[in-house]
Amino acid sequence: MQNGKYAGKGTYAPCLSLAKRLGLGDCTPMSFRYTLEESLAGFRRNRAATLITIFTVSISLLLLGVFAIITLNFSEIVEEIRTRVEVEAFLREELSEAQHRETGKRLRSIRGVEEVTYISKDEAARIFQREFGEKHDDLLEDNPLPASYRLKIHQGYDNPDSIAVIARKAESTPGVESVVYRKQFLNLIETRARTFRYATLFIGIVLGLSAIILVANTIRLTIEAKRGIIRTMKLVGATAMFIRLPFLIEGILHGIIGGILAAILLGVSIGFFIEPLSEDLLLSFEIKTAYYLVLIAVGGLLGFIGSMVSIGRFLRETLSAQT
Amino acid sequence: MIEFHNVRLVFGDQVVLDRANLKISEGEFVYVIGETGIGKSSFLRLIYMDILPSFGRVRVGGYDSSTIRSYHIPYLRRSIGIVFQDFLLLEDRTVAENVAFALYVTGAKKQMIGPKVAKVLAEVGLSAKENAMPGDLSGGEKQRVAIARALVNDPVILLADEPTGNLDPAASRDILAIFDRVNRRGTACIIATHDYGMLVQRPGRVIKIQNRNFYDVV
Repeated sequence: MQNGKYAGKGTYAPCLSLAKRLGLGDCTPMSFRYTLEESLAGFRRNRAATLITIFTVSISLLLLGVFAIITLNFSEIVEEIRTRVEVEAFLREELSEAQHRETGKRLRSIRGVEEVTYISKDEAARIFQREFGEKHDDLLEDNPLPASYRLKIHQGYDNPDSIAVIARKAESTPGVESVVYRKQFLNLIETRARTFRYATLFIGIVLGLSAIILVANTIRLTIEAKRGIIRTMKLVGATAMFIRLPFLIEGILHGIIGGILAAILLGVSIGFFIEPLSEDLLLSFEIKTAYYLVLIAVGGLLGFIGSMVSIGRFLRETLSAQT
Repeated sequence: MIEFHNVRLVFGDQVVLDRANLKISEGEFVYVIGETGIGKSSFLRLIYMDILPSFGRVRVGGYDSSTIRSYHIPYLRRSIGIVFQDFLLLEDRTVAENVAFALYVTGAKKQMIGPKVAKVLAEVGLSAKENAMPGDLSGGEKQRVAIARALVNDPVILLADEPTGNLDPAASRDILAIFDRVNRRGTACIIATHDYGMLVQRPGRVIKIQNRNFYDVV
């Protein structure tokens, strides 16, 4: 017997083309129509389970979306606070003008310092008056406030560790009396931001997994209902991809519809409830269209993973195990 | 065409075949006999590679169990028609749709499907029943639909697992007559059965599975 008699239209199996290996070698208009019809039939057959899945996926995605917005806003706030952090180096009283300039030059040369601003004794007095409402000469005869340099930190160095290093270097610069910055506040912000990030990541993973499990269960119901058909398909030589595709499309549709619902709910919630409060909360809830599209795409991805899990398990079973 | 080389097949702690060797040539008509549970169905499953041997190799045409990948198996199965005792028809589709299904899911062109289905239904004597539902058919007719579905892709090998197990003697004779006609066209027929009446009606090579090996019964 010649190999040519075997299916694959004269091709011997190990020489299968890539399209055939992927199971795409049978894509005719007929099989494409079949795939689409079968994907949509799953919606009709398990209507209740489908609706529950779509609804629950949309709630999971809505929560994911809300958490993502909060995380993004929180990160922006943290970033804003970091950029505002300045290190102030107070200068010794006895320095001459030339020594002031030399100290300023040295401070500017510290790695991580973006710019330095000189605050003279008079300027310091004006700031004191602006912030405390009193003139220093109401309390004391001489201006006791020292001149200083304000160090603006470069963006890449605005973390507590780098700032501490910059502060140490500034403190050891000749002409500097002492250095002040909001160390504890910065550490607190950093710790809170880290905890918040981990918490949102954990919640996101839990919500994502629950959406995947829901889709997987709904697809499993569809598969159970179509056990006989799938068995016959395997028996007569349908490729794994041909069998899998309708279920994948069904799962992706569950996710995308859930994602669209979540995007609508999110848009409505923000428009009606959160935006009016954004000024009070000092948060900006402007959401770009791309964000909604990402939410829908994430829905599709969760649906895809859910259906892959279900159908993969079924395809690995032998034909006799499926009777 | 089909070769078993030192095949060992184990399910859990049960050894079904041990160093079993066998050759079946193109166009042969073969009965596989043996006690219930001895491994007749497993022998057929090894041929359509639903299971692979624990040791040794099975070769079917150009396909070798030791090198075959999962994505090759559908293409092997398109060369093999498979018939079971319990028919495995899709109850919500007509006779013609059941047969067309095998073409439909393997990417056949639309204009090919109608004529091929009509031809194969005529071959098994079911042209008049093409629009009937499986529930309206007798056991013998259901088995003929299953055979039509197995034949519609022009297989090189036809495997049948107890094909007359659920049929009366008259229906069994009809089924055997179809196998005979198919075999005369050059398709190898391998029938696992415990219905020894068939062996008398249509003589062929008889392979007995015993002591975990194959024996030709003369």
